[in-house]
Amino acid sequence: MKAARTRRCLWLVVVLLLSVSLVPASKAGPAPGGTLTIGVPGEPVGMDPHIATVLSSLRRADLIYNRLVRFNDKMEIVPDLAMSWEIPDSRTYIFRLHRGVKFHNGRDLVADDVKYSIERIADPATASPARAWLPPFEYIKVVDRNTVEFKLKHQLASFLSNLALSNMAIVPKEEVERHGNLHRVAIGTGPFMLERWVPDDHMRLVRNPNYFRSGFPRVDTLIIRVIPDEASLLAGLRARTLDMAHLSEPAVVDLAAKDRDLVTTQTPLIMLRTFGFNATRPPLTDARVRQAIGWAIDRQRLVELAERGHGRVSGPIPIAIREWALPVGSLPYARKDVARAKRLLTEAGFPRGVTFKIVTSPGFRLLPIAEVIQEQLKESGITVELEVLEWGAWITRWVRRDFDSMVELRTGGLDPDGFLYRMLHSAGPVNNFLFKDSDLDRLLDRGRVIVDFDRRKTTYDEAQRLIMEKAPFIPLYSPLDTWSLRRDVRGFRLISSAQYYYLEETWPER
Amino acid sequence: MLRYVASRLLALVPVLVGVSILVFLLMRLIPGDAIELFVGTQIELTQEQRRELERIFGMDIPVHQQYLSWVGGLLQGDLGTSLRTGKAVGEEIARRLPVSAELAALAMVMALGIALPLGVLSAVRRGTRVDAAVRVGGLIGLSLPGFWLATMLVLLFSRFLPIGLVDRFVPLSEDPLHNLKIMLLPSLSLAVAVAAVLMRYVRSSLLEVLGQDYIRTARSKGLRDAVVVGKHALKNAIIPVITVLGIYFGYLLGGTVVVEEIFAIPGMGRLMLYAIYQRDYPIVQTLVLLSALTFVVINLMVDVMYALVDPRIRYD
Repeated sequence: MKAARTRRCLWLVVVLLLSVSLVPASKAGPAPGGTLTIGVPGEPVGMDPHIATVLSSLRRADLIYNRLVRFNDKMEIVPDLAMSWEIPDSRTYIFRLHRGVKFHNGRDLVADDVKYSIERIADPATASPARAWLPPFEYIKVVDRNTVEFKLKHQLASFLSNLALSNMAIVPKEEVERHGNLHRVAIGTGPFMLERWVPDDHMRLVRNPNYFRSGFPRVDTLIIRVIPDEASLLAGLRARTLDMAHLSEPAVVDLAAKDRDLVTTQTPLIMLRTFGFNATRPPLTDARVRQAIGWAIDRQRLVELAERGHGRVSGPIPIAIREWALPVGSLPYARKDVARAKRLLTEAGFPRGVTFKIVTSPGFRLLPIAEVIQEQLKESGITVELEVLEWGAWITRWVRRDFDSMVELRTGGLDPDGFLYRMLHSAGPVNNFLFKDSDLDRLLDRGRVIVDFDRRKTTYDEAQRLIMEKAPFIPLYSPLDTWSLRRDVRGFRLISSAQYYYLEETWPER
Repeated sequence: MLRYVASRLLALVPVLVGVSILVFLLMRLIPGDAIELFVGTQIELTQEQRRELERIFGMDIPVHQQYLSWVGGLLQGDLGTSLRTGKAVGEEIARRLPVSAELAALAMVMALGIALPLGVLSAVRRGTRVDAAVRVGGLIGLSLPGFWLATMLVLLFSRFLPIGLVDRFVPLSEDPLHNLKIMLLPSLSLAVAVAAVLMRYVRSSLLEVLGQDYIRTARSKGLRDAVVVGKHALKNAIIPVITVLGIYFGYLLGGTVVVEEIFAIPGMGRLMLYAIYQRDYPIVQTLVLLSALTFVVINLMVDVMYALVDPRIRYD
């Protein structure tokens, strides 16, 4: 932990130096005010940050609310509402809040709000998806007006990083009580205040004049327009009706990258495309069959074919979690090996190959990936049938664990514990692979509670190798987060968690 | 006439009841449910969380009670609350219906504006090169898929004439000029296919009429061609065209989904699309009911219009 902290401090110094030397233009002072218009493909489903499950809802929450801590663009934990924190022992966390922070309704933020918000998430009656990210608490204590203390029942190494998730918004108690929930009103401490939401059209956010980071947000008005068709997003940029757009369709990204009026930037997301197997369905019960599939896939080629190269091949921990992810080259399946795949199948008793199904859906680019896999596996004597379902039907099959194999896009917090435990521990809530392995369980249990960075690192290195060997899924790649900006947009920073709060520092220079 | 219209309106009631039951049950029978979709796959769904969400979504009571409470609400003018946005369904539809109706109406006017002159021209100059050119043009217009045309228009205009494109939507009542600028390309991409169909109807219908005796009589009286076609022939030829027009208006109202999606126009089509994706039951039910109502009413209006155009047709 100490080593990690020193390293983080060093990084912080480097980053600070770099940002001072590299962006004098932005320090020179932008003309304040103005309007920034951004185009995004998805409409929120509900606005309550504690209940929202859809990424597009959480992205709006990033702008309206603050959390105790947040990640910077190097994926290091930095202060948000908490000015500083102390961890006197591994079960005690004491946060000191910034003074003079106001909610959009004018009331001062106090430690009680933090206690209330976290307790609301932890309360089963709230039905919060973020509840699983919190450890059981012995108590949450308001020490004084600006200090709050959490006492955990047992250690949870990822606790601090979990508090940076968008769901962990600090909300004002009286507004929740007045309205029942925060689906229709949005009152936080964040840089922007919700002025108007016209579903399927636009959301108009205005500058919070009392925002606690002085000088931010840079613009007076932020308009978020929902434009589901990506060619139209690009058209909006070209027509100057948008200043920046969040893209994901590879063909459109390529067009945007070629456009000289636009700057297109990308970073790998903390997400993972997986090709996962139902460990209870023969022949996929045999680890050798799953390994054979791993060797039969050329992942780099798959990224090129299905995503036009917009993805980074990754191990079981997404490569954007830099401190923890092992380099792909040091793990199995780094290079396609058909002979090895065939040998493994023969050893498993299938010298003439195997046949199984991929349950898939046209949404979220799942289908093209499944098609490339189908094609690649042929060479090793593995026959795959595709079962293509409508999105709702696909989710039902997922929930019922009714599939041989699936291509998925997995998310799971910003820490290896968050990512691996829920997905692969035999008690993991989203272990739809029905995978059980006592060795891996032991490693994941250990990684959960160890706080010392080096020991924890050794544990997760071992876990990553074991996962690749047992192959409950084949990790394919991390998709890239892509923003395309008009040339006059300044101060925007990409972040691997895809959170939107850096829009507070962004402005169009006119 | 009035009695006829009244009896037709009365016959609507069983149709609408039938549609409401059908759509209510169908939405619940198709695979996938609202709560599973809301939660997605990356989040744990515990039993207690499920129960809590069922309560929030009003799904914790038996299906027949859900139906009755929905219909009860409908009769009192309460269309329910959208599961997706948390806004009132009535409010949401009231905002979107005019947008789609405007889009459909503009497309219709454009389609007529293209189809009528070209169809007449093609019929009058039957067998000439002009006729051939118009017919080939019609075939092309008919064969171009709307989504392709819309995307091409977006890409072309964004390169060469990026005015008003993908601009923020403004209702007609707020700023008519700006609104029309935004609606131009979407309605054009809707209009092309309809224009092609209409043109063929105009042409064939006019040709049929032009072959009739009274037209020969008119000609032999020495009337000018323009008067013969414009006054005598077209009036009779237009009846089948009106039928098609009526059917297509309903089709346009419901068929704006793709165009609304591509041009980011907040109309009914998109509302329906996302409501289906999310299994937003209250919205889907109301919209299906509404579109059934639209179809029936438009058919009725078409029948009434026959009587107005052709004095021989009476409903007594």
